[in-house]
Amino acid sequence: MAIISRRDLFRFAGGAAVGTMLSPLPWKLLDDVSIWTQNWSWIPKPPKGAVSFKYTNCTLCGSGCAAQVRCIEAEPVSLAGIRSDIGLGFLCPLGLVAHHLRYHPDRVTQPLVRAKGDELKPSSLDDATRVVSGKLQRLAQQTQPSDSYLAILGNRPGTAGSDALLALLARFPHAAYVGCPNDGDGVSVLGSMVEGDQNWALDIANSKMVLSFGAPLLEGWGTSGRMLAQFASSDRKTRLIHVEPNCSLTARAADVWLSIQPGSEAALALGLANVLIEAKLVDPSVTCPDLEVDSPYRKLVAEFSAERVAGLTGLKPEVITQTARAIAQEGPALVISRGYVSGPVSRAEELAIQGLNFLLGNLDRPGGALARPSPSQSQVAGPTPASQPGPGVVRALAAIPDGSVELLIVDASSGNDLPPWAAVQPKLSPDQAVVVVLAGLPTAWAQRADVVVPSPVFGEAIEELPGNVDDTANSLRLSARLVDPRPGLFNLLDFVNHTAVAAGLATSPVSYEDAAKQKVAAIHQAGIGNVVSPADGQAKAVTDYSSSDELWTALAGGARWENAAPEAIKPATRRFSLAGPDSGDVERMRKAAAQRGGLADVAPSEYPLTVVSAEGRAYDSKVSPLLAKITWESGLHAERTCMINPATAAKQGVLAGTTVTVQTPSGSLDVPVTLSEEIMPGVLLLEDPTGEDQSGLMTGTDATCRVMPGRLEVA
Amino acid sequence: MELRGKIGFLGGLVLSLFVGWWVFPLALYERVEQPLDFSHKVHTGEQAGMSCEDCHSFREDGSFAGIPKVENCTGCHSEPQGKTVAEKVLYQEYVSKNREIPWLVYAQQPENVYFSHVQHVKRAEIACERCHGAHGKTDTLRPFERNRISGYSRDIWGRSISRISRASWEGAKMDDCIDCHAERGVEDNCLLCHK
Repeated sequence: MAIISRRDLFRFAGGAAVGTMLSPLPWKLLDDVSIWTQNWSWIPKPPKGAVSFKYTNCTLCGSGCAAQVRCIEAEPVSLAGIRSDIGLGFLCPLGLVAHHLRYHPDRVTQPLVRAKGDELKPSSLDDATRVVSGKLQRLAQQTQPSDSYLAILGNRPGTAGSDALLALLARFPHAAYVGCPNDGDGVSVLGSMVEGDQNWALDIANSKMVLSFGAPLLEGWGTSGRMLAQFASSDRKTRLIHVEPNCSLTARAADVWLSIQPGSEAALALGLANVLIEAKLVDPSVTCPDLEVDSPYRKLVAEFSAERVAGLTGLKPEVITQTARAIAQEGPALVISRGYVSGPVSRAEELAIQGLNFLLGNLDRPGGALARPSPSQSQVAGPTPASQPGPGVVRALAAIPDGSVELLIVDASSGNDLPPWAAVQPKLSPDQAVVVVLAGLPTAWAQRADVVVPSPVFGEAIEELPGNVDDTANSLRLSARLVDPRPGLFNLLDFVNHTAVAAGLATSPVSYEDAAKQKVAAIHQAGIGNVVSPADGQAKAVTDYSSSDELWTALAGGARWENAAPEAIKPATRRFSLAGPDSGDVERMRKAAAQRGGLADVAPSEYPLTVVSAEGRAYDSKVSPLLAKITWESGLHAERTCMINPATAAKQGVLAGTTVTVQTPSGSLDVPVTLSEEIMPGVLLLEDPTGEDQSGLMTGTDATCRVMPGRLEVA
Repeated sequence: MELRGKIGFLGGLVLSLFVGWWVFPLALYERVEQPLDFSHKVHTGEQAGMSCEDCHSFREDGSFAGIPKVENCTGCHSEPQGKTVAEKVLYQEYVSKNREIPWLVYAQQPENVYFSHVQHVKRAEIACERCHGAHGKTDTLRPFERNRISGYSRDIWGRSISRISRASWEGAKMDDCIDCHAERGVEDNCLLCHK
């Protein structure tokens, strides 16, 4: 009997291996396994079926671009802009894939609660509610002299949800409801300088010239599509003078770019005002007691001659004079700014900047600042307790005493750009503060929270959009609910309602959606304005809707209500104050202009550079997982870096890619260096893709936390 | 190599070829019966005289409706018309209960592919038979053969495991799309099909 040897087995195996390779088995297996990996069951798949279209308004930023949503069966599969909308059909790369956000693998799907000093851990809604309602109960029942605050970040003035929440907050002895940075901050300051309670907008579409103090017109400001159409075109009819230290996209596209020292915006504004007044270039229609020779404002302006401002800004005196003449004689120019909450300027600087609009006669003039027609949707809805908040409710971060906030609730849903953490942190009570963040994704804000509550992302909930700064009509737009949301998601109002009920502070508070419906019902009852269909751009009078439910259906389906009837303007009767609404504003403007946001207090030998923080938009809550993957894999993703001019780098002995330690009076940070000609020499621009603070680096006396003196050393 | 060694080597070779070419295809696909037997021949022949597009229609927006819904059947079969088992099942299980028939689609493309029927049928005027063969004239539905690994229909690969001696309509792999496009001078790019 033949014995099978080990060699025989090897030969057999060799033959089998050759035979296998000559058979389809390995090749077909390879093909099938690779297909299998592409079709795992948990990968979301759009259903097959009939195509339909829905309409909505994007909530990822304040622009609120209208979007047509292509659906297969009921599932959104793609978004596109709508040409007939005021945004002219524009939709940015983030908006085009906003429907992906609900599938994000990092979605916050259940409440997270942090035990003292521990990591955030998945928890139940009951646990989260217990933490928050306990605090609410304590804060509502506190008596003087206790001064602990309930603070909420996420006020969207004029929206039904914010009004309803204000009504609830009025029950607390000390509460703050603070708005998020938005493009309308500047025009809010302008409105505060005018007597009366008007709702102001900027008629940029009809302006001949725009003087922009850092407003990122091409990067995303106002109605993005309209701004791009007006300012990105080479044959544009509106001249643009852009003031910004660094060469941004908007600066590059401007007719004139004034590269000024960071923090010197107020000085430049007062210098321009000085030239306008001294050269008698103030619009003849302007009459104001603040223009009299002995007025505090005139005295303030007189201090900022072109020569002095040249020293503060780095511009030549003749450039300041020429610019003042240009905005008066070649305009009239509309003066705009990025907004004081998110920088680059403080409220005092904003007052100085907005003063130019008054001197140029821009009030109530086409192409200038226009009061939106009455009634607005809020006025139609009628006075609610919300419009008369309790004496304890403050609406500015600066008005909250340091160390007083015991409960901070932050609406970090995708539509909100939040103020820098460095500006918020000092307000928290060192020992007792609880931070609650409503977020759809684990953003940097959520990482700081003691309690994270899952919130809807784009397309999962009805949401009211505030009017845009450049939209001169009174309008009401809703973001539509495109899909059924996951269970257990809360928007800001509904979560506060939920915890207030648990705390015994309310019994049946009005929900977000009901508040919006009540507003729509009030508009229907008043019978004012038109509804513009997103499908064809056709307007239909509100009076043509048979019921408020029918009107609600139209608006919840992406239509836009607007009341564009021209306001009866009586400019002669309009009274305003160039010195600002508060008694100390002139002094604040003086200090801001002279000290360049505190920079002037620091010895240049110790801190020779100026550290500027990039615009704080929290993109991490807005980027679809697919877009994030593409940008990571293609190397296009932004990383935390500090950008400096090559000349500055040479002077500091730093090479590109070197990790340096950036130091400011409030902290230090190790960060790699990127060289760019677009950065002003002597300036260090901190880029952070999360849009958050830089480890206390920017914590200073300047409320904007955007400009600090600094130095760098090779780490 | 001595004879004994050659025999050992050839034994392994033959066995693996047998497994690879004959056993593997049998094991790779599972056969699943359709929910009911359907005769395209009866419907498209003289008896009913229907065309492909009467049931496999295009919607108003140009998208392809694919397999018809049961409501299409109800138009004629609201009452039983014959005495076949298939029609009895159709009426009792689906039409009377208004339930969709869970057809197993032989030519189902995967989710990562966008295929437009209207582009191919209307614009390029390609006949249904070019990709579906004589399916529209068959009297019975053959079992659906599902790839146990990928889950695809066997029709996507084709009957022949080697893909060498295939009928002209067999196979709907990416290579087949590329070849057909090349024949017709259609410019290709990834995003054409992988949106």
